[in-house]
Amino acid sequence: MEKKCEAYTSEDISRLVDIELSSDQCRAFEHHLSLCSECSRLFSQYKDLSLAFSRHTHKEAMGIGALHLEHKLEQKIQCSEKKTYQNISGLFGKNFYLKLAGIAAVVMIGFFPFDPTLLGTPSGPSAIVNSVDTEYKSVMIIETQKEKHTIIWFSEGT
Amino acid sequence: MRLTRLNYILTAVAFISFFLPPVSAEAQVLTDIKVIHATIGPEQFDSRLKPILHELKSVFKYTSYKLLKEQRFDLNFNQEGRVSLPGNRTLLILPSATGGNRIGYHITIQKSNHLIFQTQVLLKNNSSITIGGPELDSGALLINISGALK
Repeated sequence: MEKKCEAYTSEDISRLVDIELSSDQCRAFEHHLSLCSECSRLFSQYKDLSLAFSRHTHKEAMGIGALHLEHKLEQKIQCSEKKTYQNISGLFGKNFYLKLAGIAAVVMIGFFPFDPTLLGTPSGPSAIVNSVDTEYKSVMIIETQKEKHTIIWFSEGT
Repeated sequence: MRLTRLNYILTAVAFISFFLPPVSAEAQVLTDIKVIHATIGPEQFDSRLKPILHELKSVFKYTSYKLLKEQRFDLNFNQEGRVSLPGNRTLLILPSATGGNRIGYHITIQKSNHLIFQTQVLLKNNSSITIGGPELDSGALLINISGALK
């Protein structure tokens, strides 16, 4: 079993590999490496690991390729254009007559006065009383609250 | 394919015609007269009075509404309809004009051939008016008049 170095930790070696130490610290560490076999061995391992990692990521990045990226981009643009065309053709293509009929209906409704009684809500009194003539004194004109039903009430008592 | 397009067009036409108002230059007016006897007593009413019953109950103290008579007329404008009422009374009704989805009516009530009441109203098409007041057997006589352009 090899003796563990007490001067530097594995973290210090990692920082040296990553070039995170100052130039003075680097020089001192490099001098120590020439003397300490344990630290030298760890440094070599970390260096190899770092090199392998950077090579792999570079390879992956290079593997994508500019042509491939361009092709993917073109596909995306085409797909977006197709969707836009489908929306337009949806309005004037497949269901053209249905939509035309719908538009015609809306236009026609706009041209003709709408009868609100179709919705079940009376728009005014059921009857407008223009004149009442009676020989009796008491006449009342009533409009009910809900349906606005007009009632004319006259009392026959003089 | 052609049939489908035709269906679309027919659906649109049906939809549009549903919202079209009735043509104002109609020659006849369907006028319906209901003669009702309203009293305070055991609650009863005729099913033919259902459309107006809630409105009458919201105004009057009466609990019983009995339909004495219902008479329908297809009247031309300025053509008079006549309904005999209890108590030697007579109702005369005459559609006078139309416009703005309303029918002009001249309504007269006579008692023993003597005019006791007359009014001129503009009745909403497919709607009704109630005239009441004449006493009848410890109750009151109500006359519901509805009009519809044909």
